[in-house]
Amino acid sequence: MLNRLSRVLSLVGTALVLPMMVLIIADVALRFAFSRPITGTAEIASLMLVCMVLGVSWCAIEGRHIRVSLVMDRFPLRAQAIVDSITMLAGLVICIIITWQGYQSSLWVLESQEVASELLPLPIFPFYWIYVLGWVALCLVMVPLLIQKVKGIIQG
Amino acid sequence: MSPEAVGLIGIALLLVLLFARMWIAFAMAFVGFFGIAYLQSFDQAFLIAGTAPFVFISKYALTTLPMFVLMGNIIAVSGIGTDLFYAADKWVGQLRGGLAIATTLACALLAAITGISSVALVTMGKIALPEMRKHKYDDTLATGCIACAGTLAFLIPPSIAFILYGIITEQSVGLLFMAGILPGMLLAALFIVAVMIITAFNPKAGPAGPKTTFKEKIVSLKGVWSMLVLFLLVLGGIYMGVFTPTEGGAVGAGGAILISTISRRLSLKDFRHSLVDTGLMTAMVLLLMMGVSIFIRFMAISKVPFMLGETISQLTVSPMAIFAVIVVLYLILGMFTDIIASILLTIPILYPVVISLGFDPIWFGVMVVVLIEIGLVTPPIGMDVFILSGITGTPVGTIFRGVWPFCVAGIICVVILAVFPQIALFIPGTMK
Repeated sequence: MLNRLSRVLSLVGTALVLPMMVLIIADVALRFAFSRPITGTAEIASLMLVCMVLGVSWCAIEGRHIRVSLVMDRFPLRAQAIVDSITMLAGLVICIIITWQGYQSSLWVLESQEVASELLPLPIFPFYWIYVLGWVALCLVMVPLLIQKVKGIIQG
Repeated sequence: MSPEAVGLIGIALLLVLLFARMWIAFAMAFVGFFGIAYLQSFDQAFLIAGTAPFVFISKYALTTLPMFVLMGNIIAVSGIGTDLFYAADKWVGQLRGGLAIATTLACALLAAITGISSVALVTMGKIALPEMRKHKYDDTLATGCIACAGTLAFLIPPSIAFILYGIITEQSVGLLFMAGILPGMLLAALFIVAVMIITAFNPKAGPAGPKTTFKEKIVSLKGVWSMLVLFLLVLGGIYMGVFTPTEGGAVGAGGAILISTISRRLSLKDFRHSLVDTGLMTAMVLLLMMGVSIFIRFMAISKVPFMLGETISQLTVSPMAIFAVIVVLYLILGMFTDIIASILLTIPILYPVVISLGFDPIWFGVMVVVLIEIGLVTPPIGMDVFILSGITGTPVGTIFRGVWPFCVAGIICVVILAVFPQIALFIPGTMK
């Protein structure tokens, strides 16, 4: 269930890669050929990139987030599980803080009706929500990862 | 406690967390958050945690990342690298160590249209290595050469490393790209010299291949056109100012898709796989960038980089001696992490120091990339060696034994660039 959710979110983020590419190429081509660039390309492409945060939870499940395992690999399995549990818990704490504060900022952005730029009056609060959604999913998938590590301590 | 002391404790804690196998992104965010909370207030730390990551990644320049990753992924499945290898082999194969030289050349050419080393590692691991084994090449030479030449992707533009460096230091990615061209060619040439020296001392390590006719040489160039078109399209466009490096990524990805579709070398399955991997890779880097966004604020508040710069500039040793220390630092660091993490971890701390010493920011970017490249193939953690070992099934130890002559070549490259910074700065100078 959780796996499926993060997989879907990740695919939604990934699906934006091609439109982003087409948008930028169209902007370049129109500017080059007719000196008529597409207004707001930079803003739209940047906000599309923000949406790709949706992929971070699937990335976590796939074990793609970078870490330095050189030192820990040399310790006994139980010691590894203990340290991993602690760092995973610390990670979850900061993850929840960023998620919660991201949500607070989104409310603030909504209230102040912040837009992408003067040229492009696109409200940015929906993108804050998409960003927060990516983070919520990351918090959620970290819980089973943490439980797995704690189980590792018990089983040794 | 002074802010600087808190900053230094923060860096020490970060190192502990990294070695405790915490995700690098979270370790940076964690230390940054609590550091800011201690130095200023929790309210301030909450505010930064809520806004800084979003603001840091919603940058147009960062869209280049998925674009160049996609371009690389498409090229990896399109067989362009294979063509380059066979063409290079026709030209230099008859030399002693010819296949290894051809591999280096093919990697350098591939580097001119890709920004990540995995493309070259996959292609050469699957094509060049079996070919070298067939011709009784020493496995250490064959794999060492591929692992090291593969890292050229980060120095020869386009390059993910320069994009991230440029974004964090607010330097022009276009200038960094141009600055990488000559040093990249220099390093490739030094790698080739390394192959020649190895095979001169031990001719059995890389026997010469059959002679080829002039006609065969010319015919082989037909495999190079797609690379040339992509190179001229992307780098030419950036150099001439038709589009920015940011836009160049999209143009390159589009060009790569178009060329490989026209030549019927891109299956739907490969295409889908390339896209999914691009999404994962982008998400991975985004999480790192978001961690950096909080840590970098903590560093600024603690004034540690400023203090380090101040202290070092008061020392009576020459800047070059300090630079030598930085070189050693990067070589050590490169042994433990991959290139993206190395840049994101060190630049927030070291960049202000280096600039206050009066070094050129573009030149320093080139140096950092060369140094981290060496780190990518040195034990105990050589990411590229691990990747190549995974692709080819060659034991890690064999590859590590093969990389050292190329690492010496890398160090020589660093020394040459330190003595003649013009090599890096010449082309960017002609651009303005």
